[in-house]
Amino acid sequence: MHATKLKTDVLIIGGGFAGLWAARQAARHVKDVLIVDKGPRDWGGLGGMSGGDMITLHADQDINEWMDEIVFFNDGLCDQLMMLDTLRDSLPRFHDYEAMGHTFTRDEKGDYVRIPQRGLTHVSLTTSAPTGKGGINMRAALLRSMEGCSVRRMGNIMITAITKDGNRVSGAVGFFNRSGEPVFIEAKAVLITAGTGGWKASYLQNSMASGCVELALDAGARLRNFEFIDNWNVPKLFAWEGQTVLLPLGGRFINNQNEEFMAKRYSPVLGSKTDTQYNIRGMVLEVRAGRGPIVFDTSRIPEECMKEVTPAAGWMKLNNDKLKELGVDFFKDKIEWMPQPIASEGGIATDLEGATGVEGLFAAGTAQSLPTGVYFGGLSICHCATSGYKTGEAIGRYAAGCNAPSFDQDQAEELLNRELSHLGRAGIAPKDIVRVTQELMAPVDVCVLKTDRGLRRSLARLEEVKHEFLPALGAEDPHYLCKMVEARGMLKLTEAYLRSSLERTESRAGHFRADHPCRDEATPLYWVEICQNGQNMVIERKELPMSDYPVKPYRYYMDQFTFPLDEIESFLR
Amino acid sequence: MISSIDEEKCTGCGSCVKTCALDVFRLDTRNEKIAPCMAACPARNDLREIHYLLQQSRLDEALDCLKLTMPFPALAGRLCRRPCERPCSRHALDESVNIGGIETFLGDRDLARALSPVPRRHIFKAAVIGAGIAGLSAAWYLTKSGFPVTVFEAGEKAGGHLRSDSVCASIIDIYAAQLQAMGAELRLECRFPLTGPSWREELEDLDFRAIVIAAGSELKGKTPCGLELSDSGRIKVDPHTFQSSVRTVFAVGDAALDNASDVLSMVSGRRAAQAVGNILQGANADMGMHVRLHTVASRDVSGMEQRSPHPAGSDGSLTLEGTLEESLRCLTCGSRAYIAYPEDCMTCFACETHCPAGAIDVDPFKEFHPRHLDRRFIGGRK
Amino acid sequence: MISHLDQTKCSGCGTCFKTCPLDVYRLDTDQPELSPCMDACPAGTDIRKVNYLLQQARFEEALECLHETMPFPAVTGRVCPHPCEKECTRHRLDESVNINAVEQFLGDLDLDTPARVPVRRHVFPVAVVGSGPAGLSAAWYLAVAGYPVTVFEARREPGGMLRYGIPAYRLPSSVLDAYIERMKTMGVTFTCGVTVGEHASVSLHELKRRGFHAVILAPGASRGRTLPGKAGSMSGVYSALSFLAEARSEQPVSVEGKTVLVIGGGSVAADAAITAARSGAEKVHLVCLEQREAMPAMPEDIRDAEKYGISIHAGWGLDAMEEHTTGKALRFKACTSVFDDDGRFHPEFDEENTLELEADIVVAAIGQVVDAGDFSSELALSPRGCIVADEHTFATSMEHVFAAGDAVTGPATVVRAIRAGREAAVSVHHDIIGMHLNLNREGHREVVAPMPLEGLEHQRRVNRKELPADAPIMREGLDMEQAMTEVQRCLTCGSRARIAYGDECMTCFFCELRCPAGAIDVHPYKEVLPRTLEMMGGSD
Repeated sequence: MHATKLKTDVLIIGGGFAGLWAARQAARHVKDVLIVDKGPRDWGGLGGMSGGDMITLHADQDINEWMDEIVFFNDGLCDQLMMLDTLRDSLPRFHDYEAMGHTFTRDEKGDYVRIPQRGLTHVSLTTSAPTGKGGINMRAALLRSMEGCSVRRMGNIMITAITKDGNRVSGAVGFFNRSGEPVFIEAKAVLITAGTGGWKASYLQNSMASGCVELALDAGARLRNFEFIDNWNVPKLFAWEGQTVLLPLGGRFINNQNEEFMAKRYSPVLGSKTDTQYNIRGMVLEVRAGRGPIVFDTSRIPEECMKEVTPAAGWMKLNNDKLKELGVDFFKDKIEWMPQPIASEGGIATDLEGATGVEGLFAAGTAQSLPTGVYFGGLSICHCATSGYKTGEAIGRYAAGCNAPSFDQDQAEELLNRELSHLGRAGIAPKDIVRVTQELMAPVDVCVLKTDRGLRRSLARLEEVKHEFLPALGAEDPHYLCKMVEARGMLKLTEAYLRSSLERTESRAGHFRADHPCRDEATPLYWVEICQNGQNMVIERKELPMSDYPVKPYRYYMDQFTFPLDEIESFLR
Repeated sequence: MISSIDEEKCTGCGSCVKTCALDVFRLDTRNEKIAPCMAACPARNDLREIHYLLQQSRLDEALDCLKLTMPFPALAGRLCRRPCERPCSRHALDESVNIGGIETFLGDRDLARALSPVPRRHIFKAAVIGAGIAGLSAAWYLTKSGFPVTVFEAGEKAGGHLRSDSVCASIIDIYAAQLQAMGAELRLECRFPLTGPSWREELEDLDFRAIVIAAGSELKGKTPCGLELSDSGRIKVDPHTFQSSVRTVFAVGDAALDNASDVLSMVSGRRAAQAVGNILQGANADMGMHVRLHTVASRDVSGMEQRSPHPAGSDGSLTLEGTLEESLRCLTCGSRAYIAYPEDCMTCFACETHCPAGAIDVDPFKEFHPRHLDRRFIGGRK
Repeated sequence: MISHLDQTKCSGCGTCFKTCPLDVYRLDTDQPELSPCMDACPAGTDIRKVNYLLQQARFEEALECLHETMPFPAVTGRVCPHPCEKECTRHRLDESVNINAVEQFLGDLDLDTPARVPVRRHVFPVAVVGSGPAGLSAAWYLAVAGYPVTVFEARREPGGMLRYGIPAYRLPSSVLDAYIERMKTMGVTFTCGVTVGEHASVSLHELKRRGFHAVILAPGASRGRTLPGKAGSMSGVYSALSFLAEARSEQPVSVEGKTVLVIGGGSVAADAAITAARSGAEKVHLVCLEQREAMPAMPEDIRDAEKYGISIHAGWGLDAMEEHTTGKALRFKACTSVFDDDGRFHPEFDEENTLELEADIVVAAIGQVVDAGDFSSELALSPRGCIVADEHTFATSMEHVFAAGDAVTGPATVVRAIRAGREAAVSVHHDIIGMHLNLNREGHREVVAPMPLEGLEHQRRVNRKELPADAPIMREGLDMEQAMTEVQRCLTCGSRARIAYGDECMTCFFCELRCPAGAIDVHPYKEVLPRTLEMMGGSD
């Protein structure tokens, strides 16, 4: 088989927004930057499929007020230094987007449209125009801005391992995912911007399979925040985006007695205008009490806002048109919604410039870990730009200042052969592993009201699957080889989730333990981190450097909710 | 020297293939339009391809092709009404091809096959309730696709209503053994309480993700819990996928169909198996199942040579020689002949004189030159 | 979930295949109708399939497909005038796909991998006379088929026009030599310094005596036409072909510091002019009959000539040339038309309008002639001296003797010669095993209807990087990333998309949104997954 050998100064794994931002910046420092993506070269990652709305701290807004609110929102568990950087850099990146030709919505007065998030006072996102096409436009603008600079991009390459020269990275190996042809890439520095991964829940369009988990762990990097997930509220049967806009405008979740149960029982302050993780808890309790199904009610959204929330372009419009043809009207019918674990909010632990601690290895974008299970819309778009930019600078300067490492071809071939040896082998279909991970995540005592019992039950099953089926995975053709690598990554991701959730024996931010429903006030705030020892995951706690942080937590978002502890306890039985 | 075949005129009757002593010709049987026999066949067997393979003595390949759509040819050959034979083009010429006899012969060959375990391709298990031919058919195709399958059968042996016939019973025993050799689990004397309230939960507890109900007519009028019934009291199913009103439950054979022939029962098992594979992967149940087929018009058989069918045994069966001979009577309607080994032609004209469509042109000269201005050899090839 | 793809609407543009990040789609490029580029390709290359395979990074298969019709892609990727690109659908949309550069990339990739030695299948040896593109192609395909082949070449080294007619800056010797070495590995024998013909060192009869069962004549049209009258025999006046051939030799014509004037408007003239400029000529003129827009040279050749500061005088015919002590004085008269109403070469002039130029060296690139004089008594020749050969089978008037290339057609392109060589090899095979020569030849195929352009995204073409004027070659070939990027622009006209891995679909609608033909239907309902509330018994 023909082997493709590529050489570059900076290798970026993942061609989404973070990777594109990073490439632009790195290219100012080095001769050659190479981006590879397992998808098509130009698809621009998940950002290219989003609404393009962006958390932005505008000039008339106060960073201290935002930080206070964000720390509150995260129940104290916030990387405040990284968050500060992100907020500070949000406006410059916002303006950069405009300079690239991207358009943010303006109202009749010519002002930007800012939507407050999650019932917070200060934190707001700024919307992109037109509704439903923002991400596409952002992607196009970013790609246009890459023209003329020394960034090369290649699609349909699946990276399977990062190579090392002693302790520093020397490049990566992978294969073209439609031909199975090997790819060897020599690089001075490697940046992971491949996201973290998720459970392919068919929402957020093509949500992730697995991104960096295996790559990072095998390379010796540390992971963090895997107990937190995007357990997103979605219509049961079809996709719909824009909840973060619908809720503030009057959308509500109601039970089979037409009650807005959040306002009535669990969320006296915010009602439904809250983070998804809390709405989901309410949904679960309602269903348990026999008041399901839960539907999304739009009747309280003012008429003048309907135009804004009715999809006008892109996939959202097509989706809406087709649903209407099937006799489904989102704004008139009672549409049943359902929580669904979509994506992990964990990521690779890095310093403020994206350095992982493994020499030459950096991470940016959603491959880092900023949100802690509670999420406001537009944060990823913001953070991908700010961290992409910042890490691009850092990795560019690093690569410019060091010599090329030595690339061990034998090591690389051995790493790759472990994957390619599956090609053409009849064995367990990768899709089955994917579905196993979905099943492991779905039970309520695993993904919403977590319990030790539920988590261990899933973990035990995961270990069974790992031992029985992973060695027997087959890949009939290169397409399935790529899916096989993803499936393995998803299993690892799920394991990281379960183990991290077991470790955090308290409830905080997006993580809720039915068997530990309160905050652990006795222990100083910590992150749950993961590293790899041989084939095993090692879970550790790392204390937050509170003394370096400007905001000392004094109020907590989770305290606004009145989930009945006795009902929650019933889940333990 | 063979010169050309006019594609427009060729009807694919295969006369050239069967006539040429030097093996110059082959047929291309791939055609979106199916032969009249295939259109009539409830199992949609690719009879054209099967017979063509037999014409070339490729017995195992012919059987493999048959098994793609008919899991138990040894039964079908004996039980099928043979609707294929009526529209057979030869029917207008002399007598239809003994398609059923051919199938029975291949079926008997099938029974002699030794099968080995199929590599496991899937994690999720499928359950089949009832080991009649519909259930066995579903189990066969699911096992072939690499699913772990368990068949629950209330009786002492597999076979359902066919056990009443001793020949069929012994054939079914062989097929059941083959199924187990491939890796399926057959649990006999295991009655599944389909009408009980918790049959689905019980199966889910045993980690079965899809259920194919093949319990036969006895269920008629009694609703397995949670399933909608059709007007005639059987389980209501989608006509293509045999999916019931519950997404992961399918029903085949008499449990779902009214007055189904044995062949249709087997077909329902196959289709349900394909649909099960689809939903367990997360696709729509009918993915890959809608294929539009056009019939080929029955050919004009004037000008063709008559040839009586090979004599069959008293039970209609054929010997090996008889099967091969009989397959040669098939006119492989809708295929196209092509010149595969032209350099072997020795200009005997037999193909051209036998071609009923006048599609073949044989040049009278053995080697052709564009000009004959100067026939001076450079020494000549003597 | 992806529901349906209507193949009757599908134009094969591959947008779905290139858009879907989950890899749901594939294309079927084996279709009865040709894409416009395939129809225009003189070699009959399945450009659509090659490009599709390359889009998937299936390098070996792409090369295999390319090799079916094109043995030397590293050569043609550098010298072919690429008529395919003019017909390319993208030519109507933004810019044609850089088919030629992609071919060069594949050719260079091929040369990087070891040659495969074909299995010897036949007993009867075949002789090929001439090792230009036609002869090399014929020898290649015979060798691949398993025939023992001997190539007879008059000059010192094989290559014909590829070595002696095309300058090294366009086709480096190393590329040609790599193919020659490959062919030797494949079992082809090259015998150089030998001419074949009735009065030459080896006659056709002698070839027969030595046991060759068939002969393919491909001696080319390598004699340059000379200027008429006494101008043709003046010193310092060269035919372009001898000028170019000598440029490759140990003793090139010295042009250092001199003024060189090239007469002619085709690619050979451009080659001569640029060669002179690169060799240190102080001033180079190019004078041709045709008007600028009608010059037969490729547009990039003319651009290259300008890059070297060559003065192009279009629309002038030579009237008189005189030798002076200071050099040659040439007078040109304005050419008002080149072809008559019937399209025949019949230039008309305006005698009053003249142009005077001076030069030290004059190079005439006014055409080439076939030098098949040595076969005149054995084979039928045309009035212009070409070997007469059947247009489909390439059979000559003599049994077991075939002819291909410029010697048959008159001066034409490398790619046409390659096609002819391949077809002649097929004929030899038919001949030896005793088959009707006309049998199983490639039949006529229709071309697909023009693809509608609406809805297709504009994408900038990736071009080969221009190198400085003093670099040994003019342009750098595309690297892997550039080639993979450029080949995505190919719209694989006439293929059909299909849903290959339907269960991967995650209902993002992007394929449907971007399909220009509206052929895709995505059902809005998602894949059914385990659902938390359902598991609790709390759902409809």
